[in-house]
Amino acid sequence: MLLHPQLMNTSWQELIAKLRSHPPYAAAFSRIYRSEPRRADVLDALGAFERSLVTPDARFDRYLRGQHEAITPDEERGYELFKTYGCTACHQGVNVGGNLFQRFGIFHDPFDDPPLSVADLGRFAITRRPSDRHVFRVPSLRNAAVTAPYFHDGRARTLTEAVQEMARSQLGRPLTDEHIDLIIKFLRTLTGEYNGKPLSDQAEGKPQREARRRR
Amino acid sequence: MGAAGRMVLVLASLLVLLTYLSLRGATPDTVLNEGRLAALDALILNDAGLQRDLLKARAGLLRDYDPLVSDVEGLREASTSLETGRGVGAVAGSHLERLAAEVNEQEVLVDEFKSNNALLQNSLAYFAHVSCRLARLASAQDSTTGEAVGELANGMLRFLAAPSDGEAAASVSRSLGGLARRPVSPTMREDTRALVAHGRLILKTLPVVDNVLARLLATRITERAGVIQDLVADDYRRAESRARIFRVLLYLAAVLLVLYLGRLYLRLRASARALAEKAALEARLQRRAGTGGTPHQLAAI
Repeated sequence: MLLHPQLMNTSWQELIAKLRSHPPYAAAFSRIYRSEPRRADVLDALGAFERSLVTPDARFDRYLRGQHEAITPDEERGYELFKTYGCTACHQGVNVGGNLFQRFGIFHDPFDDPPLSVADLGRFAITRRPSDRHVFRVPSLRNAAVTAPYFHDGRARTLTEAVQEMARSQLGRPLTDEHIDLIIKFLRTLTGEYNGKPLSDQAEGKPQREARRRR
Repeated sequence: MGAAGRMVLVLASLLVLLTYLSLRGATPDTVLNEGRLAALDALILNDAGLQRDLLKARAGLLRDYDPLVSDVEGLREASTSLETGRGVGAVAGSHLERLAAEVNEQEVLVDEFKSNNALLQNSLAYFAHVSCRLARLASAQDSTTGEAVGELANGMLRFLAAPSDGEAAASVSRSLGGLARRPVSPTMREDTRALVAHGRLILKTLPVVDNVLARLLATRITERAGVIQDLVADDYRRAESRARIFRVLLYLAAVLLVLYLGRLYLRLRASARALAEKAALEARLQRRAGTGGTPHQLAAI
């Protein structure tokens, strides 16, 4: 994944150098591994992070397994709207996304307010193919309710802002507040468990503060 | 060079010969060969799976793109294991290089297909949803707009059935233009605008999806993998035949050595006998010399 030319297209030399030159990472590695970033420690940290991404048993998973009472009628209606509006064209599969690339801004250009950052360029920053400009990996929506802020630069602080932006940029029309609310109710059913405990919505506060700082 | 030096030279030459024959007579690496053939089988299977899943995705029968990701991962893993395998013949090697390049190309095209097909399927779903809603609204408020939406929907159906039909595309384009220019009531404005936008996107994206799909289906991965399978199998058969010849030569060398050893044994036995006879004679001579035999008697022995 890290070294694959189609994906992150980096090398260990470049990666280690970047981590060592980034004070917060260097400090974190020093605190946890008692050394500056090294290949084995980076792999260990990535492994620990990836294991934390396994958050099974979301209420929507239970609903798909046949427990219809696992989600409320409003959440079920939100799921219907999610499919009706075509969100499932990109957000699908076991992770409700994460398995394809898509241009951000099909019907409306979300980058019409320059200057652009390197991150705004999307895959183009790696592949240099003009067709990859503003193309990003479609994110998984699992735990979306507790992983604010949203998009590559954290521009949307809440799920409401994120759904509004998606409707404008990808669907080509604004959604009613009622429909946004129902879709968000559905998205909250995708929050799973970690170490046997449901992930908490309280986690939303911290990234939001981070997003505000970045802005 | 003395006799001992010659003997060392002969023994060293024999050792080299036997080692050479033994190495060349070894059976080719069966595990490596089977691993290579299994990787080629995996390539062919994943290529077939990929083509099936692509067609299902284009037809809207694939509910998600996870199977495509899995097919491409399978192709990539098989290709990588073939690349890292130890030496194959030059011809198979060049086919392997081209195979790896094709797998890379497929991966890029599959990503392109997924992105465009997702847009297409999204717009198709949305087009159907909005055209139904507009038709319902129009039936109560504005029958001419309803007719225009119906005409557009019919044209779109014809276009979807025959995307390469230029007349069908032109007809949809005209209908979309007409609907975009049509003054509609505020309650229908947003839906009409969305219908036109998604209709235009379908018109633009469908040929792209079909073009990418055609390129994906034109892949020669299976054909090339089949050629490599034949080459690898031929290589293995040739190596096995060569090994059999060297094993026969090794056997012949062993037989010659046994004959030579037999001959040495016989010579050794003859020498031992002669030595024993000579020793016995000398013993008798000594005994006679001790008892004082006449020279005539000694000469007669």
